[in-house]
Amino acid sequence: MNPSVVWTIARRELREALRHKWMWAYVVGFAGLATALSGTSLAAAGYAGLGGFGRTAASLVNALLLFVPLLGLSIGAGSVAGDRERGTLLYVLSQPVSRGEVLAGKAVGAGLALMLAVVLGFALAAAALALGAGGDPGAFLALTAYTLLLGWAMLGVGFVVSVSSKRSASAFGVGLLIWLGFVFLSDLGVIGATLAFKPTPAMLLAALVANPLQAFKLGAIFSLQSSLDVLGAVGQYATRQIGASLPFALAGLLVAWAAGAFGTAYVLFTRRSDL
Amino acid sequence: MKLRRAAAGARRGSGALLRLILGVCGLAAALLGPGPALGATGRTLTVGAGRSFATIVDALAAAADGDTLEVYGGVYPALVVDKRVALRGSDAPVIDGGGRGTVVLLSAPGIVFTGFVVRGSGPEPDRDHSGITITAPDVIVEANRLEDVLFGVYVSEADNALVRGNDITSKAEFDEARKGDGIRVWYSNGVQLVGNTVHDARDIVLWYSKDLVLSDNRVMRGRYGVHFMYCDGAQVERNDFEANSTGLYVMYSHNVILRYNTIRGQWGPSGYGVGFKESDNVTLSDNVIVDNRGGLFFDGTPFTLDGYAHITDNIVAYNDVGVTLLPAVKNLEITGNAFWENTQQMSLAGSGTPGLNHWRGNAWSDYTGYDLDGDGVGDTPYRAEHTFEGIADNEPLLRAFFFSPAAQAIEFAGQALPVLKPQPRLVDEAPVLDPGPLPAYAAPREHGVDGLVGAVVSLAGLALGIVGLTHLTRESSEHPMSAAGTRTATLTVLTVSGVSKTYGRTRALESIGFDVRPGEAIALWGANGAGKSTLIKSILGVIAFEGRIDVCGHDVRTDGKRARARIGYVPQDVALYDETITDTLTYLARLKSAPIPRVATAIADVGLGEHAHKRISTLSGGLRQRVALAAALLGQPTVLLLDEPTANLDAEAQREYLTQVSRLARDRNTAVIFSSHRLEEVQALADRVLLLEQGRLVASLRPKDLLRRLMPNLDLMLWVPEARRVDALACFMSHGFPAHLNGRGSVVVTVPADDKERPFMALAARGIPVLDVEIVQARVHATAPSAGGVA
Repeated sequence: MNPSVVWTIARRELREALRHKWMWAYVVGFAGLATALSGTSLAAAGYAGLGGFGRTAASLVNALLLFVPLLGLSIGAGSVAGDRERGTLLYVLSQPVSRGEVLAGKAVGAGLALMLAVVLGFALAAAALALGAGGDPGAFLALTAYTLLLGWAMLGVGFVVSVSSKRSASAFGVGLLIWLGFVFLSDLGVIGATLAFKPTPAMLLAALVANPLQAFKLGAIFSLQSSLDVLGAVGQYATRQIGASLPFALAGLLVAWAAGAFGTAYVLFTRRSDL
Repeated sequence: MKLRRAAAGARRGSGALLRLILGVCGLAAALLGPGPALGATGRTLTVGAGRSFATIVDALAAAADGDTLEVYGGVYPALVVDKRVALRGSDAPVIDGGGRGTVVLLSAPGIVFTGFVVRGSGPEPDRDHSGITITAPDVIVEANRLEDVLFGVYVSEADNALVRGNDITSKAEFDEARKGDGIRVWYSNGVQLVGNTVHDARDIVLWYSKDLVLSDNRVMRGRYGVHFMYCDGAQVERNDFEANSTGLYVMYSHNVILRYNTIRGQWGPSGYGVGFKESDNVTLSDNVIVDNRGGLFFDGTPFTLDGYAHITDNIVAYNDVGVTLLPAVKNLEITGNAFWENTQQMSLAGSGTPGLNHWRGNAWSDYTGYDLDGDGVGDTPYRAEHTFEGIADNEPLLRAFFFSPAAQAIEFAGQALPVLKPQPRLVDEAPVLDPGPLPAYAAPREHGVDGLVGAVVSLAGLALGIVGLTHLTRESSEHPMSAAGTRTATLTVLTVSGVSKTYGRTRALESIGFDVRPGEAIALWGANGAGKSTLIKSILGVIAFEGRIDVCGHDVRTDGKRARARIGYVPQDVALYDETITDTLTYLARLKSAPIPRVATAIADVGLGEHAHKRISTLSGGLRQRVALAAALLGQPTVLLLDEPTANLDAEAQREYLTQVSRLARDRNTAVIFSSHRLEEVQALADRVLLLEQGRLVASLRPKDLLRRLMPNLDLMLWVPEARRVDALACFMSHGFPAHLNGRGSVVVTVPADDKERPFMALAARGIPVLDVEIVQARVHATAPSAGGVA
């Protein structure tokens, strides 16, 4: 794989993303969410400065859980399928490049675009906090990192959908279904199974973090509160059993999701016999 | 609520002042002479190296009640003090128990013990191995540091002891349960614990003792901050409890007042900020209870029908659960508190319905009502009724799903569908909207803005870096895959052998085979669906196929990148990203590892100089096609592959385009393979034509032969003088041309398409002039007859 080719494609993808309005809409959305979240959970003035993790902060983590996967999945779903539909994919592949280089370039470009949206949003939020009451920069940066990892994991899943779809509309549709699955259906299933089978905390934890959104949630809460005790027995189990390496384990899970998804997309794309 | 809380802050502030005054007085009393427990006329004996006494034991033997022992720095063994003396450490003298038994036993009334480091008790909990054990009344233990002791200060049947300003910890090597209590009070009334710091010990535990006062202490990282067992009349004020498993726990005790305390971060497995069990007449007011697993816990409190529990003006915020009640709890008075941002405001431990308690005038962060009359009190009651919280109360494992959209979905369902709506766990008929100010003593955690500014700078820097990356170029590290490095010496630049392709059940190509020589122009001719585009995609190596295709000796399947490096491809519908022509070609040049300066040359070669900075979306179809041609030329290809290159162009643009392609190909000795529907295009450009029909290559012809094949005959309508029409007809017939008179003044003769001049020559030979001529029937067959072989 020629890094120069990958980088050329990535830069073009990034340039195109910067021209799109959705990019800036996401930046504004992130900035709003992150400012609100940080203001309610990290700020050092008023009741919020008491340092706990309140309902409002929880609902904002919730909002991130809804927003970030949607962002990742939609960017990913549109990436390859959109080019295939427009004909640009055939044209690019007719150049002296390999499929792997094209996919890697698109993934790097989309990943950087997503990173830009997240980082800019959080930077604006940090600026708002710094002008206001202040906050815990470590927790803030950790939350940013977890958000990025979740975004990349979902971007990878979006790529899997995209390389498997002929049309971008169907890719978006499948992406939306997957989003629903990650956000609601899988959790509702595990909730039902918990009520029916009464698993141990260890089993429930395993079922929980199989969903990258839950891994993100645990990481986000841990970064804001240095503990998962707020999540009851499962949170305590995770904190006690995994201890100081918990944030890294959760981050590792998200990295594994991203790597697995992009790897799957790569295999599907390079083995696909048609366009 | 605001006023009360402000007043509470002031009282807590005055408490600090009082503590200062008490401290100064105590220190003055200790330095200037006998304390309240001592007589006024004692001697002072000095202990230490070079002093009157080498050991404390010797000095104690010589001392009488009322004397003061001034002990200087050094390490002394464990001791028992059984006289009413004052022991005052200077330069932090150490009393080391050597890991055996209790280190200091104070067994006479009125002893003052101050300024020592006490360490090295035994490890046995059932023998109460302690740093300091007090077994007599009116003892003062002050300003000592206790470390590496199992129990810290053990007050055993010693009324009115004052334990003040000590720093106490337990043995670091033991886990929480194995450690001893920082302070233990046993059957000792009127004991005061003031201004101590107890950390990393087990509990402060108080048993069977009345009228205790605990004030201004800090208790951190223990199990129970303070645990009352059967202690009536206790007063607990202005203490800070942080990061213990449980903050304050009051069991079987009556007339207890807890106020102005800060209780933060108790996150033990069953951690509560403040818990009550079977206690009566308790007052909990003006405390700040934040960031605990559970804020408040009530079990059997109030205990009797006449008993009370007044919970007023506290801030209960950011706890996992604000208040936990056992179902049997009733008659609680919970008023004027702020329940703020607790993940769950109220939880009922166990099944059943909550007893009748009195919730009124509290502020609730999740109150969704309104206050139209502006009196600060909500016009609708506050109801704690959350569906998912109810489910999680019954199955605590489900707390793992708190903060999940799924949990919120269940919550919404509960709100929307009355049948799912749970019974409210509590109703506050007069909720207050403003929670009031945060008291000064509940100082929020300090987070400066410096760190955040750093975060802003880092994140903004990262963002700028990402944007900057779009302008960062990286030249290829690979050797450009130009024609120079290829096997151009081969006689063929393209070899296609036995290529077949199937889409589902449709055979798109079947055993196609042909060669292309350098500089040769090949036309692919066939109807829609004949397989032209599939063949082109196969040559590009972008689809899978059976057989083999080599471009300049490179197998397009196994060495596709090198093969494509020899190909310049122009699609029928040019799909390019919407950038300027220059940016587009620069991008493609990088993909081809071509030198960037070649972009300008390519733009000039195809006559796009004046359009170089226009965006692709603003270009006409003809200009786009030229951009694609320029792109194809960037890599100095050996083979130009054109898929219906003029399909979307008007006649003039077609001519212009074909001239350009022809010239460029000729100049560079480039082989050209193009698919086409246009006969004139084929005739202008092609050296050879490959006829495709239903995926099969049915013929390879010269363009001239193609014409014959496609249009074997045509009808010419000739105008000759009227008198010579019959002669003309006879002439044609005699030369074997089918002919007839059409009744409109002309003769129609059918001739071979490539032999149109012969009828004219025949007429000329007979001297018959031709006045006018018109081709009346010219049929172009996109497909050729199936007969014929491949050249």
